[in-house]
Amino acid sequence: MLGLSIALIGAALGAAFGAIGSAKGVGMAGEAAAGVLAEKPELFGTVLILQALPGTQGFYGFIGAFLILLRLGVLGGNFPELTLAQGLTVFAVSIPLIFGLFVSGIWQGKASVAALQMVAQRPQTTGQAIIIPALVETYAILSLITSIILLFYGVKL
Amino acid sequence: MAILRVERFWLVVPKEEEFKLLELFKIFPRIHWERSRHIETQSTKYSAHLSRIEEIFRITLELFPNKKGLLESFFAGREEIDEKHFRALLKEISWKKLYRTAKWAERALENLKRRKERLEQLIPEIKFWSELDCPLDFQRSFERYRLFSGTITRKNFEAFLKQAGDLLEESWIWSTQDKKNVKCILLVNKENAEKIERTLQKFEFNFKRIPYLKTNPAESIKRVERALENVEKAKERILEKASVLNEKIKNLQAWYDHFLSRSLEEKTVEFQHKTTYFVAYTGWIPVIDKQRFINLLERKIPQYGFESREPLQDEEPPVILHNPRFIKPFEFLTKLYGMPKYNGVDPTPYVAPFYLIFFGICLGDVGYGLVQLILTSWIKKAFRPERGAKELLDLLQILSFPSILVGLLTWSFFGSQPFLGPDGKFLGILPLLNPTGELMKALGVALFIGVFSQMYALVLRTISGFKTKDYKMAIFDGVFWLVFFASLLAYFGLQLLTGKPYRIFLYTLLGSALGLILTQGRDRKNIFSRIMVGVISLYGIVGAYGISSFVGDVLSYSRLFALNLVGSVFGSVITQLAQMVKNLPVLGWVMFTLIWIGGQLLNYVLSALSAFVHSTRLQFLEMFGKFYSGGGRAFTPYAFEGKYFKVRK
Repeated sequence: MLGLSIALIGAALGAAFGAIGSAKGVGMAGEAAAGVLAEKPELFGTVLILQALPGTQGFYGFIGAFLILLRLGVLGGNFPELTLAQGLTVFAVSIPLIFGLFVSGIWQGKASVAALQMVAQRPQTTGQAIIIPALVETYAILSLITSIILLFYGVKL
Repeated sequence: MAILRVERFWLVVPKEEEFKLLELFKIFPRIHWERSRHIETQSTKYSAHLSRIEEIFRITLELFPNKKGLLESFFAGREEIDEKHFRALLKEISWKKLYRTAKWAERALENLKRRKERLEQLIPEIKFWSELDCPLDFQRSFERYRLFSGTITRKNFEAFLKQAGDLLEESWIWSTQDKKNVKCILLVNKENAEKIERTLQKFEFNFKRIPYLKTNPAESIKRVERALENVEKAKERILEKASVLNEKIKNLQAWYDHFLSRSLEEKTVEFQHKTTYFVAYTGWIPVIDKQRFINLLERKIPQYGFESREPLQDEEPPVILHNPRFIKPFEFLTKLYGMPKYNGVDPTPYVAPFYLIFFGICLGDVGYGLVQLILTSWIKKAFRPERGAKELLDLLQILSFPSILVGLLTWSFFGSQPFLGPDGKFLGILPLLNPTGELMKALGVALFIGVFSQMYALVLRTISGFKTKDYKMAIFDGVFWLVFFASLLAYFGLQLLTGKPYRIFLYTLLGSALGLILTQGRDRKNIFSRIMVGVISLYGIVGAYGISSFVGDVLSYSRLFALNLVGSVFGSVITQLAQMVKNLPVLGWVMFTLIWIGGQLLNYVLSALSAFVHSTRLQFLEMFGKFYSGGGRAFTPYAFEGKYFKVRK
């Protein structure tokens, strides 16, 4: 059962680190958002979007973990016997999630903070401001895709 | 015809006709007036009025909090009203009187608030002395005595009595005690008062004031409570009197708009050149509107001088985009990036189909597409949005159609795939492609779209190069790269597919590579470094493009696949979660409905936001980056419009 445990630890860490990254990112953006709203409450809609942008990593982590559970068949109620090597391979699937989501969530939060300051000074730049943090998200998406490819083509059960 | 041709014009009218021209400003909005000078906007009569009315709004909002919904505050446009009604709204009230009412209410409520705070403080003070069963209006200051009142622990009280024994000879003490503490009042001889005070402090005596009241504590509390009730009643009376502010808020908004438009009229001075007898204006007018404007001038102002001409080479005419109805919503994105130059190309119609595809794939689900269609239609109807909000909603409304289409092709309804036959297909056909099952195929489709749109962007670069007469860019940075990548893909692709090499593509590949090597470093003087740059440019980093940049750009399109997958997986997870509670007795179905609707809405909002942001990114970076730079000046008509009403003439 050690194999399965390692696999599940990997899935859990992927979801957890995605959540931590997002929590940190959304939290930082939230501090800046509150500052902007104190001065300009009419920007609530824009500010909400900018604060929510670093939140996607948490979802990607969740989706990643979900797909791993799906692939292992755990969701169907089965608990497959995995060898140690298989367990480690599934763990490897989570590595892009663990690092990619965690780090990109935080940096996307920083980009959001900067974008919020931009909107506070020039509300007409809202459109551009939303794109800036989204560029960071590319790497979260690439991490998720890498994990998916590894999961369905790199793991032999 | 995507950028409207405009002409520069000059208009001269006699000074006494100036006010008629102001009317023209209002009814003929599509004119970009050029500022003749910058005048510091001093505070005029009107701006003082405006700030007073703003003050009324602020006070009214404090007295009668009015919660606007999120959607409303985001999307709601101004109320449409005809001029007659608008005038009636103005006549119905005297805003100055309402201003006095507002200020009076604010002050009165402030006083009441302070009174309430004082009364509320009094209650615990009285309660503290509730054991004193006598009116609290006994004397407090004496010629020969001093009064101390407060509380002390029992242990300390005994110790204090012991230590101060002699000093307390000529004194009177009242005390009452519970398990731990003693409340006491001491009346002591003034000669000893200071010493006693020090001793009291030493034993941590907590000095407490006895409020001066005409009745005993129990009765006093009742009186204070009655007074508090009276405060509340007074507050209600004030609010009732001030409720006229809330009722007449529309009239006040009309006055606000009235003064706003007056103050904007005053600011038209900035557009004038004045002489003793004449006033001159200058600006830009779309060629298609010119005749109409001249006709109008002739009707309204008999004496005028109008002169216009094509823009000169070194002028920077303002840009006004003009596209067919179905393309128009996409102008929102172009404006977001930056207006094209007047002599450039409006990219809107060229990239709109790609944006449709991008967004459609990202939010590819019949359910979410329908939700978006219904939501946008409803918001447009309910809140009548204007300007930016309307443009965004128009765009989202159109974008819901490709989402539904992609949803049909991938057979996805809120992330689920219903009515599948035994072969895993609906009617044996749909889904054409199942992103959750056929991961590699779906990724392949996304990357194919990437290759195709990158090639297309190069075609657009070529076209825009020819249009702006930058032939070097068109051929060296456009055609050469296009041929290079097309040959590269064709040669290796066909070899992979058919197993035999097509030599013709090898020759075009080598030819275009040679062309690139010779031209990509064309800004270098030294022939050797020019060729070096050319060679390196094939890889990337320098030059207009490169294999590594191409691969990076194409890989970037994998987000289409990922976002589609994330949306549908999350949608199906919500459905599964909701189904877990369905079998609970009684509340099962209620909870199922709540979880499902709430979850799906959440997923829709997140997916739509991601789809919008990432499609926009693909358009701005991967596509616009190849051929479009913006940098134009937007055509901005001078608006006299109010903040709250849209007045129909």
